[in-house]
Amino acid sequence: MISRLPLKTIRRLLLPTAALCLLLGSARAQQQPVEFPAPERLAVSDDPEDLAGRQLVVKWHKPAAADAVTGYRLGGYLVYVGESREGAELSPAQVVPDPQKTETLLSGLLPSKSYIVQVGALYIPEQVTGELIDLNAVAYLRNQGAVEAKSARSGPISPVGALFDPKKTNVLIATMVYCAIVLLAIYFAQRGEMYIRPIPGLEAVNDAIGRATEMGRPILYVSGLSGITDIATIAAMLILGHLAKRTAAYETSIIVPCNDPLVLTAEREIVHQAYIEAGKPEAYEPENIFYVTDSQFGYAAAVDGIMMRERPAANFFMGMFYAESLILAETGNRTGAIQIAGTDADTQLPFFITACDYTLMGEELYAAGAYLSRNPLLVAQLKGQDIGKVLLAAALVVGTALATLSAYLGPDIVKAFLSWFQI
Amino acid sequence: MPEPSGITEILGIPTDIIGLWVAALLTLAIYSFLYGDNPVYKFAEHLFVGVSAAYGAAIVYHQALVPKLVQPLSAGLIQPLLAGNPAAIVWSKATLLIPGMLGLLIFGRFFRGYQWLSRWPIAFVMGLGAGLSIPRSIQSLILEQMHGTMQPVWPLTGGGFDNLLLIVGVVCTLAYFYFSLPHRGVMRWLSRIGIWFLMIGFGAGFGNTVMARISLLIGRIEFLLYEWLPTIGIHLGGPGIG
Repeated sequence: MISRLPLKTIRRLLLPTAALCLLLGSARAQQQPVEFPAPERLAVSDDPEDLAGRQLVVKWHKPAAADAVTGYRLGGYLVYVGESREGAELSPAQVVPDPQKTETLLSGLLPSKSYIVQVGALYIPEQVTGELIDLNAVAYLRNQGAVEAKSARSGPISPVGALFDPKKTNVLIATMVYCAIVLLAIYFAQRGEMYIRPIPGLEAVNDAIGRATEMGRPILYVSGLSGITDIATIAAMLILGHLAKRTAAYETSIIVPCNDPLVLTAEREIVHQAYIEAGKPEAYEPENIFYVTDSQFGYAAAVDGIMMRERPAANFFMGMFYAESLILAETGNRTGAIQIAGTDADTQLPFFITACDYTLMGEELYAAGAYLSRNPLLVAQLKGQDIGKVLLAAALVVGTALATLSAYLGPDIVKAFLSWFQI
Repeated sequence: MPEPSGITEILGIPTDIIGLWVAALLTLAIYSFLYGDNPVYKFAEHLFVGVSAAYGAAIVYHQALVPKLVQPLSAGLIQPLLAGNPAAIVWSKATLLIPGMLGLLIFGRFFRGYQWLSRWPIAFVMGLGAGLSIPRSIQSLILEQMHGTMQPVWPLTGGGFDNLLLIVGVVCTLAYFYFSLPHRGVMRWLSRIGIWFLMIGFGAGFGNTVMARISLLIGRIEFLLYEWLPTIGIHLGGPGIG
């Protein structure tokens, strides 16, 4: 029948039909769903740098056809994490806004739990200007038509902690060498008495107690403004024990205002024990060791008031001090009390040196316990510390000589030596 | 325009003016100590101590006790209790229960015959502090410092002289802190040089800190002159004005 139609008519029919076919084909092509490729080859491993066992390293590959998705751009990745147990859901934990970045660290995890991880690639419509900045932006972008393609899940995996940090092997060796020196010193200390050079600040302790006893006035003891874990506070409490034993013998009262509740509790115990050892338990007055406040300047104001009203004959400032050091020492100086200070706070030492009669500088404070008690164990520790100092000084001289001669010795030898002191 | 919430006036006086007056009067009260101990200073001192102690207690309660112990401890407590499984609570909350119990032991001080209980938490905290600080001190105060000190001392120009001063200062200062040998002969000279280094360092530190303290004093004086005095109609000009 078609063959009977004239050629002109056929042409007239063919052209619209072809156009119609093209149009339908195009529409059909538009209806086909766009495919959003997901991140590939997701790998989750423990972070070897994380010794606490709180982190996992998540790595993936950028979707191969990510740039070929028509009408969308890859805006970044969402990292999901969830516990590996029945019914547990994965929740978004982190956003990676850079589409070129394919690695991240998942932190805040627990070594006792195992986790499942998944990564989603977020495709943002090209006409949307928003960026995947953080987790809050995800909901907005989804509302704007952003589509996510998630990878396969990876896991279960647990972050693994480590008890030993190989980078700090030198710290371990130095600690062990130091401990060995102190233990050896204690061993040899049992064979004879050890010498300690006179420390003027500690020589004056007896004078201060004597003065307070003669004047019938109390002694004020301030053990710093640091907590009980501070070495300076521990040293201050050791000195307090010896001081309290001597004041107990003379029945001279000792006032100890505290700014830390734990220090207060410990100091009451120490002073009580000292009074018992001095054979004067009945003379112990717990109300003389009291809590003031943990506020730095509130405490300074209160101690200043105590100094002005109680007029102690001797003031002891031992331990860790901050900006209140001069306020305390200056007020004590004004009352005419004999003042002995000791601290390892190098910024406060100048104030104590100028305003106090005697000052124990840095390590002299730590040596005070051994000096006052002459306890063989403590004296031996002091000897051990001294040997440690000799070794340090020798190492410093050798290291400096090596560093100076590095041009002749070659930089590798010097580097090897110096790197031992670096973490 | 909506009214801002909160009290803005007391007896017709704006609260910021009241705050300014309280701060100014308390500043003057504390400075009155320069004259000597007096009732005004005593009042300011007791107010300061009382407010700071109470504030400290409130901070500890709201920022430590409740969010770090009470809330995590009470979360998820009901279900195991209803299920009759208290052991589950103990296991799951052990990291909170142990420090909580240690804290409670401090209250042993209040009970005659049980005061020894308070020694346990103190021993724990002291041991922990000492244990943590030993490796940290060896790392940061010894090894790292030594690494920084061991520098070439030749040629003397280009930092060599500074490095020489550094090593001489460190070794001599270490000699000063050597306790178990009499400071005679070489040790005497070494320790004497060491104390000179220390005193030069302290002098520099003293000057630096005094400058900072003077700036604090200037801040207080400026507050009194340029913020407080204008509220009673005295305008001296200066910073903060116009």
